[in-house]
Amino acid sequence: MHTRHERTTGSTVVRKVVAAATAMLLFAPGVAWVAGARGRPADNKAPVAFSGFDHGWSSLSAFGKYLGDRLPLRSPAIRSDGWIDEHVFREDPAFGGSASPEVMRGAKNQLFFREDFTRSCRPWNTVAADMSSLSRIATLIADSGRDIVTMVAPNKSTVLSDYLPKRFPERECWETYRDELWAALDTSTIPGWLDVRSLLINRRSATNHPLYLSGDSHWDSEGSLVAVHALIETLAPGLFDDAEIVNTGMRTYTGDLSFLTGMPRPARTEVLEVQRDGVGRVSGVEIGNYETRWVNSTQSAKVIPGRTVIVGDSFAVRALDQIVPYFEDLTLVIPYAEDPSIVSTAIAGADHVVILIVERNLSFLMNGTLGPEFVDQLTASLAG
Amino acid sequence: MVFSDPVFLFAFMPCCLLLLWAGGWRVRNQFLIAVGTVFYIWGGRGFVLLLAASVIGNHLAANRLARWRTERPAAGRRLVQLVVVLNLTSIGVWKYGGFAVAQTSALMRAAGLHAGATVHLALPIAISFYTFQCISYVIDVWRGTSQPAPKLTDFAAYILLFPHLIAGPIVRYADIEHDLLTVPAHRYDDFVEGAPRFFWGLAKKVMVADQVAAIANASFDLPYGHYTTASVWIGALAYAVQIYFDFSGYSDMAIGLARMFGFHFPENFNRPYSAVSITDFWRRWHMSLSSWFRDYVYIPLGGNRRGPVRTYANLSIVFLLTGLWHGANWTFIVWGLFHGACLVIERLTGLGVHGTPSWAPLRRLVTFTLVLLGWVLFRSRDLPHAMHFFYVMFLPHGGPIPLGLDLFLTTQRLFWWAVGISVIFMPADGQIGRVLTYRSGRSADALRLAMVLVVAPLACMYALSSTFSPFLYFQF
Repeated sequence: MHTRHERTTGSTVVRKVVAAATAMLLFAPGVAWVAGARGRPADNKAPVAFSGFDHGWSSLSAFGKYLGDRLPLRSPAIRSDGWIDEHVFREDPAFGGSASPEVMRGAKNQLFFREDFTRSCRPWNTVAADMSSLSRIATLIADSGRDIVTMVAPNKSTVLSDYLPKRFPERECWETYRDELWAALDTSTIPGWLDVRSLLINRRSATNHPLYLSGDSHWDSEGSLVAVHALIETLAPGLFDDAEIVNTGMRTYTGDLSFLTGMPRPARTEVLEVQRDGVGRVSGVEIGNYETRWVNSTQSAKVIPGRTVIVGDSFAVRALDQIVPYFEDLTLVIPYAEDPSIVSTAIAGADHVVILIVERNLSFLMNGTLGPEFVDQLTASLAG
Repeated sequence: MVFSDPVFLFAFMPCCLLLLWAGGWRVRNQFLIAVGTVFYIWGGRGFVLLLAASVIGNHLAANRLARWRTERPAAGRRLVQLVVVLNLTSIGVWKYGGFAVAQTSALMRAAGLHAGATVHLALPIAISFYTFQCISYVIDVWRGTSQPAPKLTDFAAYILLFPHLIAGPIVRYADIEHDLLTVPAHRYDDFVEGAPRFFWGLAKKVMVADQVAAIANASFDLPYGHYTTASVWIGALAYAVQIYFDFSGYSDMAIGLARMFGFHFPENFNRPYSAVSITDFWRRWHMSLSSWFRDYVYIPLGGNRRGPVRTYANLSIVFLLTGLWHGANWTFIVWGLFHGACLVIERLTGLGVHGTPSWAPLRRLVTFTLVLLGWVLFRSRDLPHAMHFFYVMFLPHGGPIPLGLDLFLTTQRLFWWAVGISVIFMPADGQIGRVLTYRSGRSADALRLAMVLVVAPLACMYALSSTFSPFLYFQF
C-alpha cells in the first residue's frame, strides 16, 4: 500500500494523457455550450423550458432538467449507444439498462407500440364501463338532434396481429382485452357506430397492403382513406364517389415508433390525395393548441353543409387532408385539453359530430378528459 | 443528484474543478461547503436546513466535549449521551417514524383497537450517512482519539464534502483530518490518480449495474404465478451483481472524486464475494459501515469480552441495527438478523476464523450462497414476497423462462452481466480499482490509459444515453 502522497503514475506521458483525456471528457460539453452549441432534441418532445429560479427549493433540480435536455453531446451519445446495440449486439436499442422497451419489432420490420399491450393488461376501467361512457356521450349528441358518427380506429396491432411476435409477455391479456372490446363495440347500440376495423381488415385481405406505416403507430394514406370513405358515405351517401383519388407519389417520413427506438430512420410511403373539383379552401385557422377550423368554398361541388366537429386524436389528424375537402365548415377538436369545455362547446355549436378515437386511447379518454366531468359539461352545453 | 447524472458529470463537476483550479485551492474548505450545499439542495431541497442544524449542533458539542473531557468528565459523559440521543432521534423520526406508526397501528388493529393514524414523512437524503459521521466525530472527540475541528468551516467541509455526502463511504473525521486542514501539495498528482478511479466507478455503475438491474428487476417484479426456479435464481444472481457494482461503483467514484479534490478516502470494498465466511464477508463489504458498527456499537456493548452468550447477543444487536440502517422495512430487519445468525453460528462452530481455511473454494461457494439468500430478503418487496422467492428457489418449479424476464435477457445485458462476474472473480492482486489508485508500473499505467481512453468515453456515452426518454405524442 502506498503512503498518502506517494506518486503512483510513473510515466510523464501517461500522466499527461490521463489529465488531457479527463479534461476533454468532462469539459468538452461545457466548452461546446459556451461556444453556443446546444443539444438537439432527441426524445421526440420539447426540451424542458427554463423556469427561472423562483421555485424555492425545487429551482436547482428544475434547472438541472433544463440543462440535461440541452447537453451538447447528448444526442450523439444516444445515437452511438443505439449504433452499438444494433451493430455490435445485433438487437434493438435499449437505453438506460432498466428501461422497458417501448417498441416491439414484428415481422417485415413492422414496429408496434408496446403500450397497446401493456395498457390492455392494465386498462383504466372495464370494457363495459368504457362502452357505457362512450354510448352516453354519443346518445347525448344524437338526442340533441345532431348527426353523430362514432368511430374507433383500431390499433396497428389489432389489424396487423399476424405480424406480431408469437411470444411476448402481454400477449394473453392483450388478446383477451382486445377481443372483449371489439365484441362489445360490434354488438353495441352506440348511436352512429361505424365499424372501421372490419373495413380495414377486409381491405387488407383484399389488397395485401398493410394499411399502417411500418415505423409508425398510425395508418398510412390508404388506411386512412378506408376510414374517410366510410365516414363520408355515412354522412352523405354517394358524395365520396365524385372525388378523384390521386397518388401523388412517395413521401419521406420518420415514424413515431422509429423515434421511440432512439434510432429514427426516414422511410417512404405512398400518399393518396383526395381532389375535388370546385372545392376551394377559404381558410384553415388554428384556434388554439387543441382546436383547428377549416372553411371551404364551393360553387358546383357538393359538400356536407353546416358546421361539423371531429373530436379526434392523432388518427384523425393523419386523415385530415382527405377529410377536409368534403366539408363546408370543419373543426377538429383534440380531446386532450385540460379544460374539457373546449370540446363540449365545439360540439354544441356543430350540426354534425364525428368521434374518431384510437383504440388504445379509448379507455384513457373515457376515464379522463371525456369522463364524467365532460359529460356534465356536454349536457349543459347541449341544453343551453 | 448522483455522480452518473450527466448534469453532474458535464456541468457540476467541471464547474467545481474549474473554480478550484482557477484559484479556489486556498479557500478550498469554504468552497467545498458552498458546492456541497448546492449539491445537497439539488436533491435534498429544504432538508439542507436539517443538515445545517446537525453540522452546527455537533460542532458546538464536540468543542465543548474536548474541554469537558478533562475538566468536567461527568458532565461531558451526559453531554455525549445527549448528543448521540439527539442524532439518533433525528434519524429515528425521519427514517423510522412512518414505519413505527404503521407497525403500531397494525398491532392495534390486530388487538381489535381503532388505529387510523398513518404518518408519511419524506426521508431527508443522506441522513443515515451524515448522522453516523456526526456521531463518530463526537464520540471520537470525547474519547480523545480525534481532535475537534479547529473551525466550524472545517467540520462543515468534512460533512458537506460532496464525494461522500449522499452515499458514503462513511468517512471518519480522523481519516481525512490531515487533508482537511492542509492545502494539498500534490494537486496535479491527485487529479491524475483520482480520475481513472472515478471513471472505473462510473463504468461499474452505468455499464454493469444499470444493465444487470433490468434483469434483476424483471425477475423480482414477475407475478407470483410466473416464477420458475430458473427465473428466481437468475434474478438473485443478477441482483448480487447489480448491488455490488452499483454500491462499489459509487464508492469508487467517491474515492476517485475525493482524490481529485485532494482527499484520501479509505477503501469500502475488498472482493466481498470471495469471502470464505460471513464473518469474512463483513470485513470486505461496506467496510466503512461494518467498522463503524464495530467501533461504536459492538465494542461499547462489550464485544466478545463478556462471555459467549453476551457476544452472540451483541452480534445479533449489531446486525439488527445494520439491517435497520439500510431501511425501514421488515425485509431489512430480517436480512440483518439473518447475517447476525450466520455470524453467531460461525462463532459457535469456529468457521469464522481468520486466515486461509481448508476447503476454501467450497467455503466461498457456501458463503456466496448465503449472501445470495440474504440479497433475496434485501431486494424483496416484503417478507411474503421473499418467502415465495425462496419457495420457488428450492422447490423446483419447471417451465421456460417467463416472457416477462426473457424480454430483458438481451445480448447486451448478458454480456455486461458476464463482464461483471469476470471482474468479481479476478484474483486479489488484480482488483482494478486498487491497481488504478495504488499500483505503479507499466501494467498499471496501461490500465490507467485504457480507463480514460476507452472505458471512460464508453461510460460517459452510457450515462448520457440513459437519459433518453422519448414521448410518442409529440404533436399534443
